[in-house]
Amino acid sequence: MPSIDDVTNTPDELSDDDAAELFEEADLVQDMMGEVCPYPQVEAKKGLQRLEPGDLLVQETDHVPCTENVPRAVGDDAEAKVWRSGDATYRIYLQKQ
Amino acid sequence: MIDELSPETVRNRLDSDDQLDLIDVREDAAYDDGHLPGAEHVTIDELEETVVDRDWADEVIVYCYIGKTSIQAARLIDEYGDAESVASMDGGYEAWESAASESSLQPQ
Repeated sequence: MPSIDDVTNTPDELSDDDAAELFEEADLVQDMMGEVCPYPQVEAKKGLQRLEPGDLLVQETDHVPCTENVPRAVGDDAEAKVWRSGDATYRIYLQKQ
Repeated sequence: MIDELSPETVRNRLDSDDQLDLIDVREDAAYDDGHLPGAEHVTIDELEETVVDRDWADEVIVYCYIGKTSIQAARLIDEYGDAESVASMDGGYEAWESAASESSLQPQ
Protein backbone atom coordinates (compact mmCIF):
# COMPACT_ATOMS: atom_id res chain seq x y z
CA MET A 1 0.00 0.00 0.00
CA PRO A 2 1.27 3.52 -0.75
CA SER A 3 2.80 5.28 2.25
CA ILE A 4 3.46 8.92 2.99
CA ASP A 5 6.92 7.64 3.90
CA ASP A 6 7.50 6.97 0.19
CA VAL A 7 7.25 10.67 -0.64
CA THR A 8 8.81 12.23 2.44
CA ASN A 9 12.34 13.58 1.94
CA THR A 10 14.09 12.90 5.20
CA PRO A 11 17.70 13.79 6.12
CA ASP A 12 20.35 11.09 6.43
CA GLU A 13 19.27 8.03 8.33
CA LEU A 14 20.95 6.58 11.45
CA SER A 15 21.62 2.91 12.02
CA ASP A 16 19.90 1.27 14.98
CA ASP A 17 23.15 1.17 16.96
CA ASP A 18 24.09 4.77 16.26
CA ALA A 19 20.55 5.90 17.03
CA ALA A 20 20.52 4.09 20.36
CA GLU A 21 23.96 5.38 21.33
CA LEU A 22 23.14 8.98 20.40
CA PHE A 23 19.79 8.79 22.15
CA GLU A 24 21.61 8.07 25.41
CA GLU A 25 23.64 11.26 24.93
CA ALA A 26 20.65 13.50 24.09
CA ASP A 27 20.56 16.78 25.99
CA LEU A 28 16.84 17.21 25.39
CA VAL A 29 14.23 14.65 24.35
CA GLN A 30 10.80 15.79 23.14
CA ASP A 31 7.92 13.31 22.93
CA MET A 32 5.93 14.36 19.87
CA MET A 33 4.00 11.11 19.50
CA GLY A 34 0.48 11.92 18.34
CA GLU A 35 1.41 15.49 17.47
CA VAL A 36 1.17 16.89 13.96
CA CYS A 37 2.72 19.88 12.17
CA PRO A 38 3.20 22.66 13.12
CA TYR A 39 3.50 21.90 16.86
CA PRO A 40 6.72 19.77 16.60
CA GLN A 41 8.40 22.46 14.51
CA VAL A 42 7.60 25.10 17.12
CA GLU A 43 8.82 22.90 19.97
CA ALA A 44 12.05 21.99 18.13
CA LYS A 45 12.91 25.66 17.59
CA LYS A 46 12.16 26.49 21.22
CA GLY A 47 14.16 23.49 22.43
CA LEU A 48 17.20 24.40 20.34
CA GLN A 49 17.18 27.91 21.77
CA ARG A 50 17.72 26.44 25.25
CA LEU A 51 20.70 24.35 24.13
CA GLU A 52 24.36 25.11 23.51
CA PRO A 53 26.12 24.53 20.16
CA GLY A 54 26.95 20.84 19.88
CA ASP A 55 24.09 19.79 22.12
CA LEU A 56 21.62 17.21 20.86
CA LEU A 57 17.83 17.46 20.77
CA VAL A 58 15.84 14.34 19.88
CA GLN A 59 12.17 14.33 18.93
CA GLU A 60 10.15 11.11 18.95
CA THR A 61 7.25 11.11 16.52
CA ASP A 62 4.76 8.92 14.71
CA HIS A 63 3.91 11.62 12.17
CA VAL A 64 6.03 10.85 9.11
CA PRO A 65 5.81 14.34 7.51
CA CYS A 66 7.58 15.73 10.59
CA THR A 67 10.71 13.81 9.65
CA GLU A 68 11.05 16.21 6.72
CA ASN A 69 9.25 19.29 8.03
CA VAL A 70 10.99 19.62 11.41
CA PRO A 71 14.54 19.49 9.98
CA ARG A 72 13.43 21.95 7.30
CA ALA A 73 11.92 24.26 9.93
CA VAL A 74 15.10 24.45 12.04
CA GLY A 75 17.20 24.90 8.92
CA ASP A 76 20.87 25.68 9.54
CA ASP A 77 20.38 25.91 13.31
CA ALA A 78 20.88 22.17 13.57
CA GLU A 79 22.29 19.23 11.71
CA ALA A 80 19.50 16.71 11.33
CA LYS A 81 19.42 12.95 11.12
CA VAL A 82 16.48 10.54 11.29
CA TRP A 83 16.01 7.07 12.68
CA ARG A 84 13.16 4.78 11.59
CA SER A 85 12.18 2.17 14.13
CA GLY A 86 10.42 0.01 11.55
CA ASP A 87 7.14 0.04 13.45
CA ALA A 88 5.86 3.49 12.45
CA THR A 89 7.78 5.48 15.01
CA TYR A 90 10.66 7.79 14.19
CA ARG A 91 13.26 9.89 15.91
CA ILE A 92 14.56 13.19 14.63
CA TYR A 93 18.06 13.98 15.86
CA LEU A 94 18.96 17.68 15.82
CA GLN A 95 22.51 18.64 16.76
CA LYS A 96 22.70 22.36 17.41
CA GLN A 97 25.20 24.19 15.22
CA MET B 1 7.91 19.30 -7.63
CA ILE B 2 4.58 20.25 -6.08
CA ASP B 3 3.16 23.70 -6.87
CA GLU B 4 2.29 25.80 -3.84
CA LEU B 5 -0.72 28.04 -4.46
CA SER B 6 -1.57 31.11 -2.43
CA PRO B 7 -4.95 31.21 -0.68
CA GLU B 8 -6.01 33.92 -3.13
CA THR B 9 -5.20 31.64 -6.06
CA VAL B 10 -7.09 28.80 -4.41
CA ARG B 11 -10.02 31.14 -3.89
CA ASN B 12 -10.00 32.00 -7.57
CA ARG B 13 -9.82 28.34 -8.49
CA LEU B 14 -12.83 27.60 -6.26
CA ASP B 15 -14.77 30.49 -7.83
CA SER B 16 -14.18 29.08 -11.30
CA ASP B 17 -16.58 26.42 -12.53
CA ASP B 18 -13.76 23.96 -13.10
CA GLN B 19 -14.18 20.65 -11.33
CA LEU B 20 -11.44 20.05 -8.78
CA ASP B 21 -10.85 17.99 -5.68
CA LEU B 22 -10.10 20.09 -2.60
CA ILE B 23 -8.58 17.91 0.14
CA ASP B 24 -8.22 18.83 3.81
CA VAL B 25 -5.69 16.52 5.51
CA ARG B 26 -5.91 18.04 8.98
CA GLU B 27 -7.31 16.23 12.00
CA ASP B 28 -11.06 15.67 12.51
CA ALA B 29 -11.53 18.37 15.13
CA ALA B 30 -9.76 20.99 13.04
CA TYR B 31 -11.89 20.18 10.00
CA ASP B 32 -15.06 20.31 12.09
CA ASP B 33 -14.06 23.71 13.51
CA GLY B 34 -13.82 25.17 10.03
CA HIS B 35 -12.69 24.33 6.55
CA LEU B 36 -12.58 25.70 3.04
CA PRO B 37 -15.85 25.70 1.14
CA GLY B 38 -16.32 22.32 -0.54
CA ALA B 39 -13.28 20.79 1.11
CA GLU B 40 -13.31 17.04 1.57
CA HIS B 41 -11.76 15.69 4.76
CA VAL B 42 -9.20 12.93 4.04
CA THR B 43 -6.59 12.14 6.68
CA ILE B 44 -3.11 10.98 5.71
CA ASP B 45 -3.97 7.42 6.76
CA GLU B 46 -7.14 7.46 4.64
CA LEU B 47 -5.21 8.94 1.75
CA GLU B 48 -2.70 6.10 1.84
CA GLU B 49 -5.54 3.57 1.67
CA THR B 50 -7.54 5.24 -1.12
CA VAL B 51 -5.10 7.16 -3.31
CA VAL B 52 -4.60 4.40 -5.89
CA ASP B 53 -8.19 3.32 -6.46
CA ARG B 54 -9.83 6.72 -6.30
CA ASP B 55 -10.91 8.46 -9.52
CA TRP B 56 -9.32 11.86 -8.95
CA ALA B 57 -10.42 15.08 -10.63
CA ASP B 58 -7.91 16.43 -13.14
CA GLU B 59 -6.98 19.11 -10.64
CA VAL B 60 -6.37 18.46 -6.93
CA ILE B 61 -5.54 21.02 -4.26
CA VAL B 62 -4.47 19.84 -0.79
CA TYR B 63 -4.21 21.87 2.37
CA CYS B 64 -3.25 21.33 6.02
CA TYR B 65 -2.49 23.62 8.97
CA ILE B 66 0.45 25.60 7.65
CA GLY B 67 1.17 24.16 4.22
CA LYS B 68 3.87 21.60 5.04
CA THR B 69 2.23 18.20 5.50
CA SER B 70 0.02 19.07 2.52
CA ILE B 71 3.14 19.04 0.35
CA GLN B 72 3.85 15.42 1.27
CA ALA B 73 0.17 14.55 0.85
CA ALA B 74 0.17 16.20 -2.58
CA ARG B 75 3.29 14.23 -3.54
CA LEU B 76 1.48 11.04 -2.54
CA ILE B 77 -1.49 11.86 -4.81
CA ASP B 78 0.84 12.96 -7.58
CA GLU B 79 2.85 9.72 -7.29
CA TYR B 80 0.01 7.20 -6.94
CA GLY B 81 -3.16 8.96 -8.15
CA ASP B 82 -4.46 9.68 -11.64
CA ALA B 83 -4.84 13.46 -11.29
CA GLU B 84 -3.19 15.69 -13.88
CA SER B 85 -2.16 18.44 -11.50
CA VAL B 86 -1.74 18.33 -7.73
CA ALA B 87 -0.93 21.41 -5.67
CA SER B 88 -0.59 22.39 -2.03
CA MET B 89 -2.03 25.55 -0.54
CA ASP B 90 0.83 27.68 0.71
CA GLY B 91 0.51 28.61 4.37
CA GLY B 92 -2.36 26.19 4.90
CA TYR B 93 -5.64 26.90 6.62
CA GLU B 94 -3.83 29.40 8.82
CA ALA B 95 -3.02 31.56 5.77
CA TRP B 96 -6.53 31.10 4.41
CA GLU B 97 -8.01 32.47 7.64
CA SER B 98 -5.61 35.42 7.59
CA ALA B 99 -6.62 36.18 4.01
CA ALA B 100 -10.26 35.80 5.01
CA SER B 101 -9.94 38.29 7.82
CA GLU B 102 -8.19 40.75 5.53
CA SER B 103 -10.93 40.53 2.94
CA SER B 104 -14.49 39.25 2.90
CA LEU B 105 -13.52 35.55 2.46
CA GLN B 106 -15.37 33.52 5.11
CA PRO B 107 -14.63 29.88 5.89
CA GLN B 108 -17.67 27.59 6.36
